[in-house]
Amino acid sequence: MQTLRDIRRRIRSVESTRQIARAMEMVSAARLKRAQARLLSARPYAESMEGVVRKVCSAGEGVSHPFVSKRDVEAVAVCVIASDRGLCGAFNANVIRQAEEFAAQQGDVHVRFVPVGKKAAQHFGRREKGLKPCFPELGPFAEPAITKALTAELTRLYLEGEVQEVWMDFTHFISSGSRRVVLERLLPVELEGGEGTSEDYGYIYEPSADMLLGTLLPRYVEMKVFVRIAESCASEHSARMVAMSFATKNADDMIFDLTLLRNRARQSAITKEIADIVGTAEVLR
Amino acid sequence: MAMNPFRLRILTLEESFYEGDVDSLIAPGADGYFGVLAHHAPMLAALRPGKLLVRERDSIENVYAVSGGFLEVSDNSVTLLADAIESAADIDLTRAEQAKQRALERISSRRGDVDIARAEAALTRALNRVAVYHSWTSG
Repeated sequence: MQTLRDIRRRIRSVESTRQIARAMEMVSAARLKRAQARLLSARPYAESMEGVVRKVCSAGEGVSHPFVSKRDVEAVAVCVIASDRGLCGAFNANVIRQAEEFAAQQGDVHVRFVPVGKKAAQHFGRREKGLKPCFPELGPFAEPAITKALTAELTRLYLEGEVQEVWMDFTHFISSGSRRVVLERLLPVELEGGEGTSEDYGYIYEPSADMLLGTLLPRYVEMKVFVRIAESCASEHSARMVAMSFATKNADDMIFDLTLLRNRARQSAITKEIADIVGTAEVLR
Repeated sequence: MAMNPFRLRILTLEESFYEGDVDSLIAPGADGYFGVLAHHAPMLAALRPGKLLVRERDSIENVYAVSGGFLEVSDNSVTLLADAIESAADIDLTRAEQAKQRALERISSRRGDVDIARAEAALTRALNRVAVYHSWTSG
């Protein structure tokens, strides 16, 4: 049985842990708000651009660009977007597991991982020393600088023929309470052509559709990367917020149980002392 | 004279910059400036850095500096996807001049680690901001 002093010490330690968890929950809530705002304000742009790309791609026969042409696949790159920090439940484990399951299904195709975020970099760096490219610093929000660098690396891998497909593994943000790991192909760009081509006839392209696509597609890919990092960042903060609110609750439960235990221990100590005094008095008489 | 208005939406990756009914606009297309009035034919155009002139209803004119993007006309509404855009009134001339100087220095330094393409793009943007500011104050 624990002594009274042990239990008191234990309560104090749980209390301070609870305070930290609570503070982290608040910080995550504030960051989630910012990350969510960033994501939501990017969505109208993303949707419009999506539509524009689809229209140009369905414009006709003459359209071709390395970003849309399919090639025989010998190697693929999987860009895994995790977070810099832990304490966010299964957030990092989920994206990493998805990436590894995908890799296991690829058979003969060589899979190259491109980790983004410290946790992903650590995980994949353990298996492969000096893994490159690698982005161990993501920061709490989607920054344009890292988006640019990441896009440049991914397109370089693709254009130089080191890989024939680029996939992105990230956490899709649905709401602060729910998120889902998604693995989608970034390159070559998927075309949902066919539908809606008849009503879009007669578009004027300036410059030609081909040249327009040349400037449009790199921009489109960068936008995709940015939005996915933004999704992942918002998901990270919401995952951490949920994990920390559970941690706070668990700490509360623990403090409650420990307090009962402490009271009982104190009571039994008092009882024992009284018994001792009575016993001694009995002897002295 | 009352004109037919049409809807204009200006979007950037950071925000929905503008949304409203306008009478006409003049945008810096990749092949030169072009104007859009109501009931324009469907069009997709790439933009280069330049001056965007928007004439709102009641002939209020707004001038913006655009640093490139795309413009779509369809269904009597215009969507402008801008890389970056700012109102001429918001342009900080000293900052733009400084950015211009920095870009010039980086281009002329000819060091190996300088990304010439990026420096030139920065210079174009800075020059555009300066030019738009001057045309706005003089006009």
